[in-house]
Amino acid sequence: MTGDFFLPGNSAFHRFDGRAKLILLVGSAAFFFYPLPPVFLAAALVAWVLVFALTIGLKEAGTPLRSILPVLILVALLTPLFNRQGTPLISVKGMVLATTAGLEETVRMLLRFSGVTLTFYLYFRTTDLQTILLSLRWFGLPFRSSLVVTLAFRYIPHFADLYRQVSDAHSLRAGEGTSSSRGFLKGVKAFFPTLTSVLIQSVKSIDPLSMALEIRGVGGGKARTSYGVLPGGARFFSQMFLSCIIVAAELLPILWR
Amino acid sequence: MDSGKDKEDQAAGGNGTKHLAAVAILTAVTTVFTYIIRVPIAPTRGYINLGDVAIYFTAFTFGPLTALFAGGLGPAIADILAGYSQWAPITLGIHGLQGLLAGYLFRLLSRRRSESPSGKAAGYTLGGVAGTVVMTGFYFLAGGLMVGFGAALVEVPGNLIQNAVGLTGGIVLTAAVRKAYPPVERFSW
Repeated sequence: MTGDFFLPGNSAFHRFDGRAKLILLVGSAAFFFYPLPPVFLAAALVAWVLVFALTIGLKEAGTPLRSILPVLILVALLTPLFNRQGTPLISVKGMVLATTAGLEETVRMLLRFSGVTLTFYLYFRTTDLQTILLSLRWFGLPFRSSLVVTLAFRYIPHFADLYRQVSDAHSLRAGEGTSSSRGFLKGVKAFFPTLTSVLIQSVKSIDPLSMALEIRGVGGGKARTSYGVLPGGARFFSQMFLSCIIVAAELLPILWR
Repeated sequence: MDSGKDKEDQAAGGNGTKHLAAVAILTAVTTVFTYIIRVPIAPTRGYINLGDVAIYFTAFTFGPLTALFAGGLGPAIADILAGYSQWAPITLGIHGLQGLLAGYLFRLLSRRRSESPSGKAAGYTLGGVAGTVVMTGFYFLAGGLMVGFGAALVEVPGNLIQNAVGLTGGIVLTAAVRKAYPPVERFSW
């Protein structure tokens, strides 16, 4: 497990400045919550699908949509039942199952969830962890917070391996079969010694990590330099300007109405 | 003259780095518990993730502030790694608040009754109830905005079960880890 969701590439979106992309992510995700007719949300969704096609491929757009398909089906089935105002469209034995307003709301919810999903998916797929954290730091995320995130990513694979090793060790010691063969309750009960061991080993990592951080000057109160720096210059300003223009343009339909 | 506890704190790197290290380690643990470790439910062939177990364990063992940061960040990172990054900002806020409340109420009630078993039991109960209400309630509201209240309502029973499992597991692991490794008390914040 790499502990990262980033898909390396050289598309225009990969090369787009991380800070500008973050503004675009927040603004574009918020757009799907604006009180607008579904046609505007559909246009935004189509635009994002086009961006997928031009950057990491249309096939990648299918991955997040497939993962949320069960939820989309639930939305399609249940939203009309919870929104029965307006002109009835489908009635069964006097009970209104769908109305015009309900269908409009259903379409809005489907477009909203799909649009937000694609927006976030594209951002994290085309932006590596270092760029994400440097961008957040540029916007004011404290150094200690970004340090916590980088340290957590460093330890996630380690604790995942630790869990597997401890789990195997406990299984061998117990001499029992797999969890499916020994029953649900026994399997759950057998988890706790494993989890306790993993937690104790994890907690024992705190002191060495703390001392390592102090030796490296964390918490010393002095200004810190940065190993990685996001580029500035004309390219950065033009991409930031473009992001701000796009986000501002997304507000136009609301102002126009 | 330094007390024994002060010496231990200095050996561990002082309060600042100690707490930062604890938050980082527990964030990673919570991510692993949420994303990697799954308990199969044979009848349904589904899984329960143990993220809430880690959040309640962190809240009851390490205190409200560690639970706020690690409890929010851990599941949020798990959401991103699992491909559900659209939920990450919501998860960050809701699970962080869940950990904060559970840890704060547990500490308040257990200290008020001088760390007695009845005080701890009251703390576990009220902390667990508050955490459950916050997590289930806010996920329902956020889900309502994201996918509509009809679909969000379907998630409520699952979230309640998740919290019940998480609270039970968190209490058991808190007691087990405290018994097996008493120095864990030093990291409480």
